[in-house]
Amino acid sequence: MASAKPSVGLLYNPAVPAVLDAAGTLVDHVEVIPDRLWYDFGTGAEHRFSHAHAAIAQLGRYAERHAVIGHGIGLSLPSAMPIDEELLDEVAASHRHFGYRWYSEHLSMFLAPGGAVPNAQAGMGLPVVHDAELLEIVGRKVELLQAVLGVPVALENGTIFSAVPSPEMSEPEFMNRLHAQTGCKMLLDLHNLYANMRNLNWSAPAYLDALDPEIVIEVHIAGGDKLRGHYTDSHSRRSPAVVWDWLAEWGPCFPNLSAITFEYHESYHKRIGAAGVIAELEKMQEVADDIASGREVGAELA
Amino acid sequence: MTLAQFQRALTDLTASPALCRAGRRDPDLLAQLYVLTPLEQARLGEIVASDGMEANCMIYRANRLAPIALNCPELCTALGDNLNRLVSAYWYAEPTTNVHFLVEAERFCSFLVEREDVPPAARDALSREHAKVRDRLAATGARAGEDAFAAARAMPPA
Repeated sequence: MASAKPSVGLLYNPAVPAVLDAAGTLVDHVEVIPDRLWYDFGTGAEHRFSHAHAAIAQLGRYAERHAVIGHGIGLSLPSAMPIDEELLDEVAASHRHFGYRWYSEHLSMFLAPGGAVPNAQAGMGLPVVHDAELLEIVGRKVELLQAVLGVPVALENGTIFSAVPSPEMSEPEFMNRLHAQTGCKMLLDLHNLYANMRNLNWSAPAYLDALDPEIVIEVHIAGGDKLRGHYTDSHSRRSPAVVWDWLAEWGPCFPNLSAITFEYHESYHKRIGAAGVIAELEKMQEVADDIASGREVGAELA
Repeated sequence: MTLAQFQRALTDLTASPALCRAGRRDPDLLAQLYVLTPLEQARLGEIVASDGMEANCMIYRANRLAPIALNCPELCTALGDNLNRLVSAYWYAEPTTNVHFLVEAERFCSFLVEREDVPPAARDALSREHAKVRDRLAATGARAGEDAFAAARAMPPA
């Protein structure tokens, strides 16, 4: 039986060890992007995956004291193409090595069949068509992932700049139906939702009203930048006040919320500062305590 | 399967502001280039005309430029007005983004080394920062063929 308090953690990047060394007791879990643990030289290469041994060893030392969650960017489940089985094997091997509590990917398209952006893993997730055809494609891949990994699988809502018009269903409805069909959980990125509110005039309360609260297993928070009139999920700042308000208000409504993770990019470590990251962690711990206090003692979580 | 064509069209548009402009000028263009249903054609027409498409294009370029700008700042400065032309040529030649900044920066440097149209004034910066990137890449401990997960792979499936 797991603790009723959601765990608090950081998305692992090369700057995070300094934070862990300074304030490790504030960090319950580290979330790792497995795609950053190796250099992928592409299908057909003699040694396609060249492991980043130093990073793997370093993460291994922290994994002795912290839970590890896997958060992939490379499998691009919504792409209308077969799953990359070699990459899936590598993800599975990393899971066996670190023992992910669960594994998440994105409800965004990072790969396109034969397109000009065959592997835009630099963070350019493109919007998807929320319809029955995509539900079938994603559902099959989620079931495969669940079978291969043997742990829960979650999908994250993305930042969208150009929503696909005339969808058959809303994003929350898509997530709800995917969960009903496959058991797939949701990683609710509150900062992505905030960006979509700013860029697309989405109503965050309406989004949350439409979402089955039972499916949310993890929440992401982060900060971003303005770019020529658009707001980006650049992981470049501390989380904005609105995101904190949402976390405090909605966090207790998700009965299966098991983790809260702050994401930032190492290139902005200097701007945010170790003290800034630690301040985020302290606030996250406070919210996690508040959520725990509202739950029944002994409530079973993922 | 037209969804694959729709997705390909969207990614091609994201990588090419010129294709976006052409698609805005000629609403039938995308239907000539890709096999699309009328609904998909209408969706792409709205997307390409939206402000958000400009953001997609900018972020795609920013994401591809970031590894180069962060790891080769002197080279970028030395290239000056030639940077846009040369990174565009690089992205055309290497459409596959690599998630690893050092790998992406190393590939760009290697691409420039082979070209004759790099301004002589930028050659020193190229040589210096290319060597620095290669050293940093070597320091990551990536070794071809050495499996860090060998023991984990030998474990029984979950």
